[in-house]
Amino acid sequence: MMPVPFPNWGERSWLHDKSLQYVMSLDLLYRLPIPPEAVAGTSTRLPLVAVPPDGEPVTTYRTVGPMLFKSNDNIEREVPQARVVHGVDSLELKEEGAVDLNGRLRLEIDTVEAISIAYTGKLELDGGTLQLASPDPPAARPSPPSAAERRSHQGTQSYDRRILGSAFISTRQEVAIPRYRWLTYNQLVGVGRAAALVPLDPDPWLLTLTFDLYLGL
Amino acid sequence: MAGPAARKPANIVEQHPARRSTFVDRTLLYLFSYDVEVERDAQTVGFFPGGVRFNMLAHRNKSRAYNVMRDRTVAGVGVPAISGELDWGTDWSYWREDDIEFSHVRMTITTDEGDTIYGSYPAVVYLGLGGFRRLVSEKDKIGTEDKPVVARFVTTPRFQTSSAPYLWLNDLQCVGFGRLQLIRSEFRRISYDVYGLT
Repeated sequence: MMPVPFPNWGERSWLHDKSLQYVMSLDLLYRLPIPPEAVAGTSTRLPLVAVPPDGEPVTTYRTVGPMLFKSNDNIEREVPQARVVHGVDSLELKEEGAVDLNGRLRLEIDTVEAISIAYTGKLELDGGTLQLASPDPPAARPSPPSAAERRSHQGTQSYDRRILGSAFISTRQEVAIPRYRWLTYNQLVGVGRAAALVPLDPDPWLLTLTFDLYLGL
Repeated sequence: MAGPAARKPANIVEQHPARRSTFVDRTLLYLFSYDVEVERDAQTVGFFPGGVRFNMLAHRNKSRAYNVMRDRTVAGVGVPAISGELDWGTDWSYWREDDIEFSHVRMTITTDEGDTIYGSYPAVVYLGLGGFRRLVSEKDKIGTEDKPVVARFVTTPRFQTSSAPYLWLNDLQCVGFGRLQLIRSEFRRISYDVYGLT
């Protein structure tokens, strides 16, 4: 068989069409270990354990409109309103720059089957992530308290400061539930914000990650 | 003997972020593009329960990273634009019987200045209804030389380098918007635009 010659592709002078379409939001709360437990081996590696929400808060939702996603094909797909029941991540801390995120989540909805989400990405905090392992963290930039903090800190303040940052992830989902099966076929891109909650001892540090997940087309 | 009064532990669950009704700001920052010619002789690992696995290689002399605007710096940021040879590239693919492809892509780019940049990403691609059967079938191949089938893909690469001019890449989660050409059910050419999420 004669080899097929490659046509001359050359170098493009134009960009491919692109779009990111909003699918859902993903909010997470991670609990960090108390500082002496943070150092592992030659690096400062922090295991993060997700804290499941209690009561009304959910982990995945849509900020606007019904729990439906419509792509270019105009087919409406259901978006799960799920709650994380188990989640882990691990951060290898650095003095400056972004660190890798690599987490796994198990979410439950109103069925027996769970939704599994695996994600990788980047996390960056003002002042570097190494301060997450510091027993005496430097002063964080003042920031207004979140709605959750205002709600819970009436007279019993446990977290007086927040260190803000950004986080970006890509996610993979595994779902057996037919109406959410479409999530298995798609990788999502998460654009998010991070906030490390600085505790008044002896409470653990907390890390909140709030993402908007998009489908790239 | 009573010790000092212990402070009540925090109710951690109450620190959950409140449900938002607004989006997080986002920007896509164009970084570079790359075109890859895929080597014809993919390494077929074979069929397993649930799918088939094979490895593809980038053609070393026909794969290149470049800036489509021919800019010397990344617009709006001022860091050096990336231009060079994509001299190692592998795609370890697994086509599942439920019409999903999972890939692990790894590559290195040697810039025109001689710096080396490592990139990697996992990819999830929906092959379409019945796509697995069509792709592995000896009959009814997808795409011809005259009419190659072009599929759209989105990937999420990350890069690592120790070269000072490109250290900024280490901190970015990127998104690649690409096109893939299929000829006789073989991947032949891949073309991506890479953006940084900021």
